[in-house]
Amino acid sequence: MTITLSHYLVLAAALFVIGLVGVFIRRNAITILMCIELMLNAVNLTFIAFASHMNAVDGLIFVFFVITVAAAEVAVGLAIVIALFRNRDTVNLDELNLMRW
Amino acid sequence: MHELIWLVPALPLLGVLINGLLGSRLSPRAISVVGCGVVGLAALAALGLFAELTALPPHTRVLRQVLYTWIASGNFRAEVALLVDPLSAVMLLVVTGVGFLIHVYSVGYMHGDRGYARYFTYLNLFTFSMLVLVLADNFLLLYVGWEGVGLCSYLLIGFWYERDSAANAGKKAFITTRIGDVGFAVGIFLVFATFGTVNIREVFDAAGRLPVGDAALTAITLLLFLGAVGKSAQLPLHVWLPDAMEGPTPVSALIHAATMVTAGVYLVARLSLLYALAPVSLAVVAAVGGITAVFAASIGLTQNDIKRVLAYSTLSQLGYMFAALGVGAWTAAIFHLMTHGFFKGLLFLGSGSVIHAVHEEQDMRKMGGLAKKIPHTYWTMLIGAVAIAGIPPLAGFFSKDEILGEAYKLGFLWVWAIGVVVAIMTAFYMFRLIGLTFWGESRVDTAVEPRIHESPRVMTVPLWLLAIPSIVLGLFLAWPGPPLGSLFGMEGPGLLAGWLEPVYEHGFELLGHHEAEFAIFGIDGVLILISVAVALGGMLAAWRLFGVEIGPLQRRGAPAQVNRASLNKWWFDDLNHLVFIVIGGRVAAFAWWFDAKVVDGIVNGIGAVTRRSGGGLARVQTGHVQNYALGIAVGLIVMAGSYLMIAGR
Amino acid sequence: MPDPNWSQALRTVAPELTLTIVALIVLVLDLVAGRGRKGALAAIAVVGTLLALGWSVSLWGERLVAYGGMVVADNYSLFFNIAFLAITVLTILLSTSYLRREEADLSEYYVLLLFCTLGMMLMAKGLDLIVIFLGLEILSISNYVLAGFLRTRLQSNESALKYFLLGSFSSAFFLYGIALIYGTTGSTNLGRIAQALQANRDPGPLFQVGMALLLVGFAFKVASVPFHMWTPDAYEGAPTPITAYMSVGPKAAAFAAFLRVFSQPLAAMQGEWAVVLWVLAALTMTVGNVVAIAQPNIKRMLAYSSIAHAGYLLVPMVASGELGTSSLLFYVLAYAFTTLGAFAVVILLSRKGEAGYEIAGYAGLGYTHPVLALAMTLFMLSLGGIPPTAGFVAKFYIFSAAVKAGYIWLTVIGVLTSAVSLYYYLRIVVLMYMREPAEESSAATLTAGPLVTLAIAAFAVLLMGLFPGSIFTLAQSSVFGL
Repeated sequence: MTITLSHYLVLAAALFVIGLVGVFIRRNAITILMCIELMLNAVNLTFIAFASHMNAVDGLIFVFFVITVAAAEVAVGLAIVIALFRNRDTVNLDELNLMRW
Repeated sequence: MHELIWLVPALPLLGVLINGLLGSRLSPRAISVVGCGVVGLAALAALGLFAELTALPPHTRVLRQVLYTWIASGNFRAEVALLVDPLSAVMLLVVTGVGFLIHVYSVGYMHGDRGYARYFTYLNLFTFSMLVLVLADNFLLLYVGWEGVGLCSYLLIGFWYERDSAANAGKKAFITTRIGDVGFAVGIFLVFATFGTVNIREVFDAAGRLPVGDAALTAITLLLFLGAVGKSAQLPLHVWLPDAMEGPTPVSALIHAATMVTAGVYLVARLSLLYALAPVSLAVVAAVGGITAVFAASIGLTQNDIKRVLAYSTLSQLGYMFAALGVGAWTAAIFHLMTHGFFKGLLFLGSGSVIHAVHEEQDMRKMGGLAKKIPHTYWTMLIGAVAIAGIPPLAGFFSKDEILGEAYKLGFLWVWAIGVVVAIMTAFYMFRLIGLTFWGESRVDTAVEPRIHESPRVMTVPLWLLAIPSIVLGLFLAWPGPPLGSLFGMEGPGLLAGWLEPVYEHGFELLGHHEAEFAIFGIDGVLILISVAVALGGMLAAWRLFGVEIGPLQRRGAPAQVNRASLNKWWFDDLNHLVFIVIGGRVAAFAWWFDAKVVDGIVNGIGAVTRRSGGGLARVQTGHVQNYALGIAVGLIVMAGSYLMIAGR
Repeated sequence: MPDPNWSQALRTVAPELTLTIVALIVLVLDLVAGRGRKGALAAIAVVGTLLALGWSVSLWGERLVAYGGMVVADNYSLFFNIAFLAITVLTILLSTSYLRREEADLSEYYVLLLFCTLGMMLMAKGLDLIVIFLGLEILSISNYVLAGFLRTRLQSNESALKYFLLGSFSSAFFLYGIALIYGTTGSTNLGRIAQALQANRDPGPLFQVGMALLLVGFAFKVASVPFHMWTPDAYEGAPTPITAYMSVGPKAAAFAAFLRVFSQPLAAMQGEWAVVLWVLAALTMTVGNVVAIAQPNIKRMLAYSSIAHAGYLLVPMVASGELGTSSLLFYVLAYAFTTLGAFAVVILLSRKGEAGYEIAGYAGLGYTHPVLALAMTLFMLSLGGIPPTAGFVAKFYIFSAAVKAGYIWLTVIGVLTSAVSLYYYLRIVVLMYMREPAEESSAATLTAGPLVTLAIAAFAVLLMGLFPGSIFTLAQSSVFGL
């Protein structure tokens, strides 16, 4: 069996959905952050699959951008979570509904 | 002079700026001088414009001043331009003239109120907005004025905000008129979409090329009429006006009787050409007007609050005007608008003077016998009542008779019939008001009784100044046309009809109206007799019921059979009782119930439902971040799914 | 592909470069400047922003494309960029005294604000989905930090975390959309995507899913229902000047890119996407306005109001065309000035510890602070679309565009919902003028920065209401670059 573009795309979509579901069902802020990272990496995989399918480099370059952006996002995200943890001693999202309605 | 049209609205605006910004530092005297002075000067400027207009030949009587180009984009232009033509000149005189007198009256009425500067600021702002509305040359500027008067009305109804009822009344006025304003706004957008312009005269030109009964025209005119229904408090958006009486009485006189509520009438009259092209809309206008006229008058029969009687009377008279507009009797409608502005303004100011005299009591059951104690108020209000009842030769007779006559002769028998019924009711409730207030025994609270006093000069003088036009204005404006002119063998249209003719002749052509022969000794005479007879009948009936302890016929020594008849009070009282108390009372009770429960309920319901759903929808916002994420995902799936379905078709 | 014309490329992004350099200078100077000298840094930030603004103005009328067609300086992007820079200046003016009061007077704040603006400018200038994505991320990441800038306050933490999680969540969607579009058309360049679509009329469902994902990303940023739910929470908890900034700046930037993406490559599919946008617009206007009625907190009310205004901004997107675009530009400007003005009043009336945001506290303001009350009235009328304010003219433009394009019912919904909106806008006016001042009357601390913002905003709102001609001409001349 040869591995075609579709296989990669389906794999990437599956990873994306796993990340997505993780965002819904996990309660820990850090875990959710990781799930979002998983979604971003699924996108990276899509980019790479398309790029190698089309024999183009631009798709590969985008991946670098995305990795950089994701790194920055994680840095900021962790900082926010730490700031929260200092004030509330929890990273459980269920306890975060000070503001609603 | 026509470069100075801008002065007319600018003067009240100056008053707003002075009183609004410096009001807290000015003495009450200075505030009143500024507040009244600017309106007085505006009235003088309006008179100047009027004089200039009369100097022109009839068909060129248009003065236009472009202040600047407001919006110019591609082929779309909207200018801030003011237009004085015979129609707007008439309105100008009413607004500034009645407005000035009411401002002066307010000096006395609001004396010592802690919101004195605020009051005059709002009143001047109202005058400014109303003048913008009247002078507007395009729909956008018209809308500016339209929103402005609405805002001022809202602020002035709730002026005494310490009272909950006033605050609620303001809220109700706001919600109800909003419904109309939505129609008005959408109507303007449709005008723009259909004609590509918002200039009224260009719209007329473009509309003239459309066939009569064109769907777009019908939609536009109906939507704009919805705005008029809200602003002029016609059924079913009338509920706010009676409650609006919570505002200070001069405000009721100026905004909720003489000027703002007639804005809807003015709108339809100004756009008469469009309505002439949309017969369906005209019929709707007539029907709404007719129904409101009879409905409101029937409620007026049994109200005990003196201002509420006048409020329902205003509704009813506005209905009269709309009925007239709907049958195509545009001149008659404007005629009635003018005379009504004076005598209803007078009646409201008079009622304010009464309320002042009995120390802020509005219930007529706690009045009575005031005629001798406050003679100026009594006589002027009596003049107003006779005028509105339609007794010749006072003003109301001429305008009302013209509406009835036109309706009959144009073939709208049902409008005529409603008009006659309303006329008898009007005469009845007005004299019931006069009877309960001024005649008979005093029922005033004993504590207040010795302190009843006539109002100061600053209030009674405006009353008399309004009473004079209430007497002569009708005769003056109808002369030398029918009905009196014909009696003396004069020819031609009346003063007002001739004056407004250039504005309306094109519309009349479209409707196929032609100058009907006026036969004072024929059909017209009969119609006049009928309307005078019903007015007298209503008046007499009220007088018997509320005016006298002993019937006047019994006082004289009369022949036996007359005496017997008279002992039974000519059986008149029985009939009276049957017609006005039993039947009229039932109708009034039903109308009142319908008004208070159904219509009011719906209006309040709309407000409540909106508020509740606001609270309910907010509950979706649980504060849990994952619910939000789920919302995003579900939104995406629904959106992408439905999109693929649309695209897949 | 190296760009042979370096000077042109530099000119194209000169305003962005200026902003970056100034941000870095502020960052470095922070090390030197002692505590209590942060005011000087704010001044440098303002000067730098004005410099970038001047650069942008000087580029007006040209159409410079650089970096292999990834970035463009046309009137459209310049119109937005000038607006962004003006918004930034006004926001800095709102911030200084506030930060001092809340004891969060750190220069990182200004640096982040400048970077955030940089991201917005890139979004407007981007001709390539990747550039737009980078702009979006620069904007978002700085913004997450700004939302949580009051580190010790729980609300601020919560606001930042919610904004961050949902923001990066939606970024993932956005990016996935880009990937799918890239895969189906072979490019991320808007021009080349358009060419590919012209060559191939039916790009397939994968492309459409990509567009839908892209749409989610934009709809999230502009806070359109049902992607709006982060907005009230994030706005309420963020420092108030940042709330003001977020409700105008990033929203406008998202619209700038949104409109470019959906009007350029997708012109062929406009009709089909218009249906989706129609529904979003109608939902957003309705939900935003109806929920705002029930809010007791002015920041939260203005948050819902900003959702509703996103709905109004979607109306010209549905209408599209020249009139649609120019009316959107006009609306963005009118909305930005009005909202910033309203927030200036809110900040002036707030108290230490993020207090003083209850709407009930505005009672009697007409007597205690007549000028503030008058200004607030002006802004509320403008938000409600009452003449003679900027908001009225703006609403008239967008609804005219919609009616011209045949979307009568959308206009009806729009007019109806703005009638609803008046209910809560005018409630504030009524409170100010028709209620007695509360016992513990909140005395406003009149500081210069917010007052200047207030004056500028009030002037702009009146100017755009009474003499909208010149601004609209500008908006129109910005369309042709698109």
